Amino acid sequence: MLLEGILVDLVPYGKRFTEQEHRWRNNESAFWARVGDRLPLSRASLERWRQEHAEHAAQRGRREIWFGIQTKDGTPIGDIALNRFWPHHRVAMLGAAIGEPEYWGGGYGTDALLLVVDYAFDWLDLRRLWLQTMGSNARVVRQMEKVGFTLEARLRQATYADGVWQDLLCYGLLREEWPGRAALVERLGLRPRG
Amino acid sequence: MLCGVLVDLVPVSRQARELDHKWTNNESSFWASGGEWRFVTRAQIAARQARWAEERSRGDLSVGFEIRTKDGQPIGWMGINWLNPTHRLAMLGAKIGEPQYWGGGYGTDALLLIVEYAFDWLDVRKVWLATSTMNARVIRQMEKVGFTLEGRQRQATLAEGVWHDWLAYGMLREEWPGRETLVERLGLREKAVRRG
Repeated sequence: MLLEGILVDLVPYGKRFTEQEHRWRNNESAFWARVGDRLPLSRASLERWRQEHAEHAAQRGRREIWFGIQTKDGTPIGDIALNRFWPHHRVAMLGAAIGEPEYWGGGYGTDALLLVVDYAFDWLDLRRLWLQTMGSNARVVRQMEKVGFTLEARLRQATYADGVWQDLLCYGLLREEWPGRAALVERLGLRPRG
Repeated sequence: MLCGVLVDLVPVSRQARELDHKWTNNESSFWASGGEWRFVTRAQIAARQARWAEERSRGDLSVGFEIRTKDGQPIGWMGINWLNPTHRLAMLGAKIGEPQYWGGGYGTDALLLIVEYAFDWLDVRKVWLATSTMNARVIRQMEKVGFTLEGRQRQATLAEGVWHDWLAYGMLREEWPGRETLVERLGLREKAVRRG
């Protein structure tokens, strides 16, 4: 166990997760997580992508931290990651996907987000976190407001998805704006399930 | 080659590649990257150039031009760092490596060429770029050329001991009045005449 939440835990992104990845990357969750790209991915191309991505990151000295998100009964449901680290500016970008749609809207993603933000500020000494989503991603927009991220950019008509041009939204959170994980767990009323 | 008023955009020459080491270690890098200031060896430059060449040969979607003055002096780079073919979105990147060419319209002339190329030849629908709040020259340029400030990422970069915001500027194709109109409006020809 790495980071222990209320509804989920964050664990190393190991084989139990990569086995699900082919399904996750081809279902609707990929569309939301990848801001509008919906590419059919074969197992082979996914494997190749993963390998190239790792090599590329290593070659350029890029740091990335990937977590698997699992429910309290150990079911893998998605991933959350810190990437695009800028070590001297102490900034990183967040990326996440809940690959299992039945876990959308239940607080699972938010619980994972709070864990990762807490980790980034309190363990990695980051100063700023940011992420991107599509204008039509109402769930994430609501989540950002609840958690207290600031809408910092609206890149007009930057992505074409489902037949319409959509804005890309950038949200940012500075460390001094973070009330702490416990305060947010309380405020958002995250409680263990049954 | 894309033919401008003060400069042309040409394929990257050996002469420009040799200047890369100087351009990377001088102040121009700091401005071009929005606050990074790294010092690199010739070997690192060679490795980076090889990597870029390999990425382009693999079909990665980027475009790189050398900016060359009308009398044949390479002065910097202008390009599309990253192009998304599905969304027809292009991120621009540029550098004038020779500080004596700052503020004289050279960068703006090059910018107009690449934007026109993106819209009229690559069928791009939107171009955008990022800079930081300390880069007054680029901010003024964006306003003059008609880009829209679309975002401000607060305190995203530390430079000279101060936190600066990142700014994102974008232009949609329907907002582009055409290169000729802008060359006229910005008086680039008069500038060229004055340079003689």
